[in-house]
Amino acid sequence: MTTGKAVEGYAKDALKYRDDLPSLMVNAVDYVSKIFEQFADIDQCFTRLVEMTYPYILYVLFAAEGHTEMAKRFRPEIEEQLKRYPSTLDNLPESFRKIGEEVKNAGLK
Amino acid sequence: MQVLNNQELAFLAVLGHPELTSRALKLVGREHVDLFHRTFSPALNVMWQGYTEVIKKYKKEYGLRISKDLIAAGLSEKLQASNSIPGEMLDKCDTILRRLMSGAIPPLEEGMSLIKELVQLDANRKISAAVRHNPDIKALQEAVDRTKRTMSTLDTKADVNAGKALFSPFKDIEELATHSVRIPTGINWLDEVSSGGGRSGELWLILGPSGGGKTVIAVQYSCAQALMGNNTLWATYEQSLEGDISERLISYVTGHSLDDIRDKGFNNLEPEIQQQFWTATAGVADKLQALDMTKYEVDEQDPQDNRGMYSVWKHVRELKAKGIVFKSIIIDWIGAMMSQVGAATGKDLSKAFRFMTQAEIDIARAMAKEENVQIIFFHQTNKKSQNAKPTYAPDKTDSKDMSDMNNYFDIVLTLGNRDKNNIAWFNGAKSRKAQEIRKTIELKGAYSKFVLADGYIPNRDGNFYKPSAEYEPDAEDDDEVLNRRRMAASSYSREIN
Repeated sequence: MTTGKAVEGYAKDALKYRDDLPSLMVNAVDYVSKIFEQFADIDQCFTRLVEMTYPYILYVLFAAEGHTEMAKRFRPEIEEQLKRYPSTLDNLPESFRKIGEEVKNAGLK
Repeated sequence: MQVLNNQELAFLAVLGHPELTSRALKLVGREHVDLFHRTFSPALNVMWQGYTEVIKKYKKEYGLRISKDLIAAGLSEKLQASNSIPGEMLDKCDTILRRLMSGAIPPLEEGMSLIKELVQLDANRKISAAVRHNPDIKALQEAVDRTKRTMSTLDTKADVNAGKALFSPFKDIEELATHSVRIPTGINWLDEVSSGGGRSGELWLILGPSGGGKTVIAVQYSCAQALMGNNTLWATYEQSLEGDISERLISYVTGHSLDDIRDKGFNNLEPEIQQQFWTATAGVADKLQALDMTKYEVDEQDPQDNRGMYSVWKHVRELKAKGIVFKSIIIDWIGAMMSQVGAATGKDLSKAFRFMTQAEIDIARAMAKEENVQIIFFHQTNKKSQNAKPTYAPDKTDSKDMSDMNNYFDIVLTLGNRDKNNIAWFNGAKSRKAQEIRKTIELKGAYSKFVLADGYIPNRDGNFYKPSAEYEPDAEDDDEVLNRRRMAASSYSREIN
């Protein structure tokens, strides 16, 4: 049975690996292009996309593409992600760094 | 004799040029090459293409002996040290790379056209010319010729070692190139544990208790694959296509509750649901092919036809002949398949019954490789895990008990029992992560997702919550719910272990 101590151990393990941001972003590019092609209703697109990839990934992607309005939808999620895992964006390629800086400069950690 | 064509030589030079390679990798970020490869890194694309072509040619046609000759002549070092690429080409590569990486991501089409542009760059022609007249390259051609003549002496230990020495500078790129051919799963948490998805030729195993949510994952996966334009074959050995599976698919695609759809038949569904289904599946509906193995008729003329993996492969080949090429195959589920195989062959598979026979695994492995498909097997967990309360987090032993079959699968994922909130422990006993993964997962309707369960994710202060009573199942309710789920999910029951 799961004990509190075991769970704490899992939690420590969790810190050793973080979300595989580059791979997830690669896939997100595919998902976004395919889903937007398939569904006309933009809300339906986002419903699908959130199942296929994580909201904070979508934020990074849309912010990088300059789609401010779409990025805004996922702003709370990236904020939450960065609070939980402050180094989420640290490993991003150079051109994406500004997104992390921009979010962090907005008053987050 | 011109052994390699100019383009290949150019690629070889680019690859062998440490400055250009390091510039590109530095700009792109070595660990993020995959991302840029599939989005907007034309130079890297060129490098990959050239690399794979040249190495393939070496390996296939000339064997590893070439490397021995190269090293003997000191050519490997010379190639890397030579500065045969004009500065103009370096500048152009840099300009394109910087342009692509400094601003927003360009549309994929633009990225592709840039790749073509780079390939066709005038500078490329100049490189070819430079390479052609390079004395080292001429010597390389002679070495290749010699190697070709002495093919019969290949496969010695020295050759292999020499080959490794030659290819080691390119190892990183080879790994990255291999890494790039992932099949995105279309499920966020599955992408996460598999570092971006499956690869062709891989076998995955997803274990879970009866009624534990395996079909939920299969539905979500196959629908996502269809949306991605990938052909998927779903071989079902237990649940009927017309009933349960179709209903779950419709529920997932339209977003309506399964209760609105169950037992009604498609034509009796609300017109709105029907319309939503057709709209959502327009153009992709044929991507998901189903093979109802419960109704499969064994070909009496074919002694190998046994309702097992051979029969699935036979079906795959038949469809391939009609132009339908699959990327993924779902086997739902192993226990039922082995039951069918036992019935078809009349063999006593009771000992193998708890898992696959070696013969079936061998066929699956061969099929995955030959057909370039990823095969996802579903199976039940062992009795200990089956009967455990949802608070029990499955671990390695829950799949290990299925014998040592973990060794045959590239990824093994195990689900625990769901509690009354549809939350189950999830264990990535074998994934692409360095550590064993333990998380909680929500499996509801036709959706599955990781949930930020108490006790797992650190809170904002970096502290960890203790398990919440919210996820503790009520003993009576839980048994009732569990049994109902088991009955609903499975018309077929058997004892494991």
